[in-house]
Amino acid sequence: MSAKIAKHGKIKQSSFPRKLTPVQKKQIEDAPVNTDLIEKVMQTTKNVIFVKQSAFAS
Amino acid sequence: MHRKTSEIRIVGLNASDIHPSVFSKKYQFGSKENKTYFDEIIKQAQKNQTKLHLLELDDKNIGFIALSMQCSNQKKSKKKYLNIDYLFVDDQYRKESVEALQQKASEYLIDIVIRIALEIKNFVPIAYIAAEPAHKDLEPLYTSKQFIKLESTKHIFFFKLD
Repeated sequence: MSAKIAKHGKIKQSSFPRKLTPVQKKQIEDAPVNTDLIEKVMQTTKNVIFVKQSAFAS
Repeated sequence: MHRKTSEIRIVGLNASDIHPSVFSKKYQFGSKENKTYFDEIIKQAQKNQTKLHLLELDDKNIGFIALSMQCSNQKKSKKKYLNIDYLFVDDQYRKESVEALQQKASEYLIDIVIRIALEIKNFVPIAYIAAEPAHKDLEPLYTSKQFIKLESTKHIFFFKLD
């Protein structure tokens, strides 16, 4: 699972820094877009049906 | 002999569709801690702070992801990103690879996050996906999907989209 529970028992909405340091900013800028993985993901998810209605809706 | 193809569905839930007592009966949690996470994220989803996307395989409830759009606070270059608020897999599907998904359910859910992010990117500029695994043990899940650990953080990851 992702997300994190803080000491008071609430999940933090996001711990990703809103304000990036210059080093972090450069790291993200310089990171390559992984086109091979993106192509693979498009393949593995090609048969998925996206539904907006809920099976649990009343 | 013809083999039936499994139907894989991702169901996007609106806040008004969420009935916690019904919803929680669909899953096996494996521990009290997991149920606590679950209850908290359901509350957030009901407040529209995150959106749930359920993974169903032939009407079996495998797990779900909770996603929200966030925005960085940079003065000159504000960037939008998709945050993985929660990733949950039913206890019985956690360890083994699921044949129809050709990988573990958790890995497949990450693929779904990337797919959703790419769809959003067609309409709204988003720069990356962000995630913070709850446990160190979960880091290999993200690195196996080429998420990169953010400098000067313990275990915050990003996946660049643009």
